[in-house]
Amino acid sequence: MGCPAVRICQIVLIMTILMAVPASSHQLQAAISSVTFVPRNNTIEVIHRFYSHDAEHALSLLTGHHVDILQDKEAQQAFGRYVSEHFQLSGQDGTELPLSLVGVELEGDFIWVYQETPIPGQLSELSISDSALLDVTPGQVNTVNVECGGELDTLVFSEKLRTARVEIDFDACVTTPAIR
Amino acid sequence: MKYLFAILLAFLALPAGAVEQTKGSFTDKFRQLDEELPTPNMFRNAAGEPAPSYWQQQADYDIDVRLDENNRTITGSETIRYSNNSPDTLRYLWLQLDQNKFHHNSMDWLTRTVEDPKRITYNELRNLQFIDDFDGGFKIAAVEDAGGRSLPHTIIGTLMRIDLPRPLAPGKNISFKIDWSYQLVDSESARSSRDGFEYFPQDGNDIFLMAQWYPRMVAYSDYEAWHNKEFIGRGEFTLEFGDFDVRITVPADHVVSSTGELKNPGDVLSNVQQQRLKQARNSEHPIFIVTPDEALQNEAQRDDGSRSWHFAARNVRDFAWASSRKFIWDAQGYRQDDADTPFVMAMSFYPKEGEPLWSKYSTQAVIHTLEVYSRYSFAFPYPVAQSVNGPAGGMEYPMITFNGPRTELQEDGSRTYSRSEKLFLIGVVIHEIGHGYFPMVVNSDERQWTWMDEGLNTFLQYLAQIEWGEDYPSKRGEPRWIVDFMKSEKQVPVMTNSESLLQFGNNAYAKPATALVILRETILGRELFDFAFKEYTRRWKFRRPTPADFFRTMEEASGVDLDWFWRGWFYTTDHVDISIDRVTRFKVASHDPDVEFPKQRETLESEPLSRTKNSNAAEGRTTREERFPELVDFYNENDPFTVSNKDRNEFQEYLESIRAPRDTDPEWRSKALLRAIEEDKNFYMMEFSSPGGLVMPILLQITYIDDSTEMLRIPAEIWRFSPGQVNKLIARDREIATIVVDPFWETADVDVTNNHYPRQFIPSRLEIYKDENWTSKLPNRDLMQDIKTELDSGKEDIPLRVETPDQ
Repeated sequence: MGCPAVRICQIVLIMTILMAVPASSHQLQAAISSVTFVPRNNTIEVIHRFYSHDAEHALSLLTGHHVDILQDKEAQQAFGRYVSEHFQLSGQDGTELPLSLVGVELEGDFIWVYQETPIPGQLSELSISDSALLDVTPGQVNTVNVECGGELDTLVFSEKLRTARVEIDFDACVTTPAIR
Repeated sequence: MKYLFAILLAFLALPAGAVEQTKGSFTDKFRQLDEELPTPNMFRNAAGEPAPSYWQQQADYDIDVRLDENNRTITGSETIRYSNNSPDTLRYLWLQLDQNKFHHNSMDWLTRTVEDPKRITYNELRNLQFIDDFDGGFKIAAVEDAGGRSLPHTIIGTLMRIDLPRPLAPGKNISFKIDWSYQLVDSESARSSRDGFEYFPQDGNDIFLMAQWYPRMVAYSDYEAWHNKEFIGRGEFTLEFGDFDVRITVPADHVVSSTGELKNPGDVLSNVQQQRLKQARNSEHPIFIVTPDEALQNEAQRDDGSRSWHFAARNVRDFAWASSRKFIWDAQGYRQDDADTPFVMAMSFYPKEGEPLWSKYSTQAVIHTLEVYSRYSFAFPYPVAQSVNGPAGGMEYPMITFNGPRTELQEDGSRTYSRSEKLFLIGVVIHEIGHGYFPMVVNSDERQWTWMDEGLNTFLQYLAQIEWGEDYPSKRGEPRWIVDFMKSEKQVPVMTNSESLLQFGNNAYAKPATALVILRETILGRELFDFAFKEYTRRWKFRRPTPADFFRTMEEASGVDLDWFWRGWFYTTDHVDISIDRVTRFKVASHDPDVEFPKQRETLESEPLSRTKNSNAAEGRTTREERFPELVDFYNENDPFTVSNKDRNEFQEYLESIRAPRDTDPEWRSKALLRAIEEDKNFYMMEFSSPGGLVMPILLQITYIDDSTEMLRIPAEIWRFSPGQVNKLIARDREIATIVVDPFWETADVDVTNNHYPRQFIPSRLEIYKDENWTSKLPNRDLMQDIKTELDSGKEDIPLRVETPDQ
């Protein structure tokens, strides 16, 4: 999709839906996720934590009709599907790791989305794409902690950055139990 | 990304102090903060309170303002009376013109960036068009002295400097006049505006929220002089206290909500409305001053005339107001036990688009906030507290707040709201009204230290929410929710200037709020914390505190050294991870053969008998000694564990050897030994480490083999000599079965897998979820129907767990 400097290129307009920013209030718009290697189960566990109020607002905008996320299990599942569609893990050669959606639950002010994938045979680098809520909630910041082999790396995703990479010490990751 | 972050970190790193530990690797977690905190002086003393020479400026405003609804403009004329209470002579004054943020060439516009150079979003396109169209910023028509002579002034972005004809000496004041006008911002197009208007196409009306609407004084303080920093939108404001006298002219059928008390109700309110207000003063629940029906009628008409609402406010740091013909207005009086302000009128203003949520909860939430917050600080010092619905999601001003939640219009014309929206409204009202205390009265510098108002307010909000209702899911202050953030790599210390904050929300709101919850529940306890916190609010009510004042006051009033706590939680990015690595049980070696030998015999006897011997006995085989008793001698009759006098003599020699002839009591060691033998206690050596870096008290739950438990709270000072690892020895009569560190998750410990001894398997959230939800893969069932089914006899087995395939 390269655009030569000299010619005038057609700008593709991207549809994004934005909602009003609460200027001061609680400063929601922050999600935190963890990608953890669990050698015991031979899986990579992915746990996302969003403020349920943010999720509800976003879902209402995306679906075009009002959603009640605390009461409606369907809505919770829909949000889980939304998150899984906007989050990908890939290995060093670009192959996507197949993440399955395990479930969604509510606790405290939060909605939790669970995913997992088997630990691949080999991994030297993990590429993460996280665009959940970035086109819906202005100012949204998604923090992802990647934990394996006793090491923790943090990536921060926002409107300005949707993909990032971390190096993986595979041998350590598959032997050392992760910090929970 | 990492490179950029490294650069950012380099700039933010705390400057190397004069004191440096260059030998060994000791980190002093308990070093006093004196080196980091500013030197106490005659303005703010070492106790953390205003000192005898404390001063602050005062700025009084007399304003006439007119709202032109059709053109969406504001035209105003103000006289500012500025009192120089500082010891400095001022040759110029700085004012802030925050609306200039919306000017074409503002720093805010110029420094906005776009994410992807190959594509633009509709919003970015709209922003560009907005900049083209919008004639933003203040138009300053006149800046004059009291005599009407023009004053030289220079505008730089959102700041204006007025050069004084004569320097303003300490203790003197000066009055000057400014005429201005500006174009209001449409909340639709400028997404991060805190003020402007929202247009409702269905009825053709607007809600106008007026904030940052007048040129106002920049703060001048003892620790920074002029706080003249360009307003780019995120950091909020630093302002001076003063009195306001404001006349607001709006369309005659508008309802106005404003900072201050209404001075001319007879001119702008009907008799009915005035009656209702009187009634509301003593009511036990909110009363409509403008009913929903009246608001609906009001929406449908248009009055060409105008009216002026006259408000006066004393000792406020800002002034905001809202105006609309859409407003429903309710009110309820709140009485407090305070000589200065015995009565507060709590009021809410909202359009039908907020119903039925607002009439049910807003004013009640206002009063709830006053009740709770006042208990931890001081009686609300203003005559009104208001919650207004408009396009700004959540924003605070003295006596008035703007809050966002709306309800859903259903097809049948009714309006509904979700549980989440209800909780959000209550929460945001509590939060914004709470700001009425911090920073509106305890006037901290929001621009520099956002956490001082947001952190403290979020903390009290958490307490107020818990007090609202049984199932209010307010867990934001709970330590366990902050651990994911605290262990992450991409963060900066809380004591970082707001404009550069990464992870703004977590750093300014959640982390400091959580730190205060922990300080209150775990470190100081409620009695000491509440006393110290209240003292802080009393000291700095209507004054300007800095972080050092807060830290010093809390220590001084509680009597507890907290420098390690502030250092860990506010000055570093360390996290809490306390591990119990090993527990070893000891018994004291008595050296007394009469004690030790029987024990050893017992140990031997408790071992299983040899298999061969057992089998022989079962076969009926006898030993030679049994058949020929003459083979039995002294050694058969006295086993190796028999105590001889020689052994006893050796014991006495031992006791002799531990005598301390030069000490006051030469026998002190043997006495200790003999006592230990008698008490026969179990000694436990517990080894702890703190890989997270942030030292905290070690909270232990000890469970004995008889299932009884004991809580042992070891103060954080245990880490003072070796912050990475400590060993603790305790003695107990009973035998310990398990030890758990921080059993109630009070310390924000990021890793609980190392909190148990012996180690326990701790499943992850995901594993627990899978465990609890294996039924979630079953199709939706009608439980109400299913439960009526008779249980088939003989089929009482619990169904097997089914391993479900991945989706």
